[in-house]
Amino acid sequence: MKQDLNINVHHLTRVEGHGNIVVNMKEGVLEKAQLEIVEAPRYFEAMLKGRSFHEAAIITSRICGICSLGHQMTSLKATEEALGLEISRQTLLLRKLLIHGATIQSNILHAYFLAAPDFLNVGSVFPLVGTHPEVVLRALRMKRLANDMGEILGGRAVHPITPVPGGFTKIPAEADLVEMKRRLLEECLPDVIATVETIKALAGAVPQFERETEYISVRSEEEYGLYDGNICSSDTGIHPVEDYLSVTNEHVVSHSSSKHAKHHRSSYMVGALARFNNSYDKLHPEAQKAAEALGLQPVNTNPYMITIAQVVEVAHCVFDSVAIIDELLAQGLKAEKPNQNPTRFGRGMATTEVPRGILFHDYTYNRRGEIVKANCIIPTGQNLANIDDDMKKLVPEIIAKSKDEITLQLEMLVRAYDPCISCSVHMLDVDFIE
Amino acid sequence: MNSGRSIHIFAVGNPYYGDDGVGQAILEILQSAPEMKDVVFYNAQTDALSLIDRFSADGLNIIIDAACMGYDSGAVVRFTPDETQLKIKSDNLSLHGFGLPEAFQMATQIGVMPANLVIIGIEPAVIEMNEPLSEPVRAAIPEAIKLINNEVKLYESAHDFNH
Repeated sequence: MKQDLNINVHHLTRVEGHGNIVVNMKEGVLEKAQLEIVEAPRYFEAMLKGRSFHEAAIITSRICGICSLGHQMTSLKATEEALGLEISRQTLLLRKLLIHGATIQSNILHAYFLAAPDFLNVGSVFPLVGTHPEVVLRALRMKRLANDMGEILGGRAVHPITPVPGGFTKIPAEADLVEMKRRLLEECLPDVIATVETIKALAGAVPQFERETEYISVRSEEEYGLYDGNICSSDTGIHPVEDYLSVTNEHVVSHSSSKHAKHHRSSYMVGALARFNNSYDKLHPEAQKAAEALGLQPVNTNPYMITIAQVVEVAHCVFDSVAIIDELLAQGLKAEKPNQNPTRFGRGMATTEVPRGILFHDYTYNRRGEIVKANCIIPTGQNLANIDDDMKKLVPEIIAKSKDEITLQLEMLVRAYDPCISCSVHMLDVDFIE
Repeated sequence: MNSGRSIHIFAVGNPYYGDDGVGQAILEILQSAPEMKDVVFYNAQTDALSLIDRFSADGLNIIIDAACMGYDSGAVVRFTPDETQLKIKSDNLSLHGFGLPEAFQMATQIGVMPANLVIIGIEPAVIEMNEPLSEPVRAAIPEAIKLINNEVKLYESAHDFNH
């Protein structure tokens, strides 16, 4: 058994942003096992200073090219809460449909393009195009459908333009929703079934590692919590969104330019597996069947199973999208004007599940409807301490392996969380003075 | 993928990242030009991979993007993918990192890379969040539009669009 180990992975591959894995073991004692975040802070809250309530969601949706829809939805909800803007049932359903499209797209791309190459031990998705073209084409088909959902509902596939505070500037045509439902059932559903089979075939390559942690996600008693709900901790239960600061407890650590978060333990996990563990009972029955087929049961404590939970969520989103479309068509689409008449000007806090986990936006508006204070807490920042704690448990368990094998397994661990480091780096809270 | 002799103009980039937004800025000008009424426009923004579904198999494809080419800021260069070595980040690929070179490689591998594809690259000066277009890049926009108009006219005359 080796007594000394030094791993220093600079610029972790297949991860957005700049992060390094650093492990030091000396004479059998683990001195360091951590993900160092070295990317410069981006201070995107500062961008919101003085902006009107019409602009906030547009700006925040640009924070991230992958989670743009989630930022936009959370921003709209925070603004509506701050300004007392009520939305219609139709707006609510259309937003939920948008969230489903974004979740399908992100989860599918992560599973096929980033995680599958790990499970198959190839360097990237490109070798898979040659060896498994039908699988890559399937992933692209599903991505296209999700893109088209964004375009039909949001006016654009990336950075949607029709969702605004209080509603939508343009309502999709009923015929478009009918066609979307047809494609979900006739094109996407067979692809979901095939995806479950593909991932099932790869399940043997998922590393075996267990570490119990606290799981934090949105939870709704009405549905699988994605668009809205309370904060749910697997340790402490339900917390109102307004208590988000006492749940996230962001703090500075020396090895990361992004703050870490902790709640009931030294760390907690957010993302697909946290959602699955906290809201399994709210999954669509067909998604629960997919979970069973994939060998995923709550509470699962293997972080490498995040990818499997993402696939289960894709099944849920497809079936629930069909149900939402049915409700929209049954009630008939109405040409509604967005409700943009504030009834108050104050503070609004909101949470939404984006693919990588629970996201918080918190705005305070002045009487001119301009933002004077903003705070955004991003999923990746919340996962960083949990990744470190995973590494600290994992390294001693796999110390008998070769250094290359240990390094690969650590890289796979970080990639399983699908961190978006660039988005996570915003270490200063900015207080604006009016 | 679209088929038929049509003209497709694409923009790539994030307009909230300084000069990375030059593609969108140019696309918006072109979209309002009367002579471009038959052109299909698509703003891929940060999702270069989505271009795979949008390429015109037999038509003209023009992509406008900020490109680090080693020239002075604001330089406008017309090139085709085979004229240059595009950096593939296949071993360093994130969902965000799936840029044009990766989209081209994927399109080539699955057989949807169009034969007629031109890139209008603009050398950026500032790629920073919340920055506007830099002066040199802003000043380069007319030159980029001129190059795009030339491409469109050449294609139209070669394919006798108006007769």
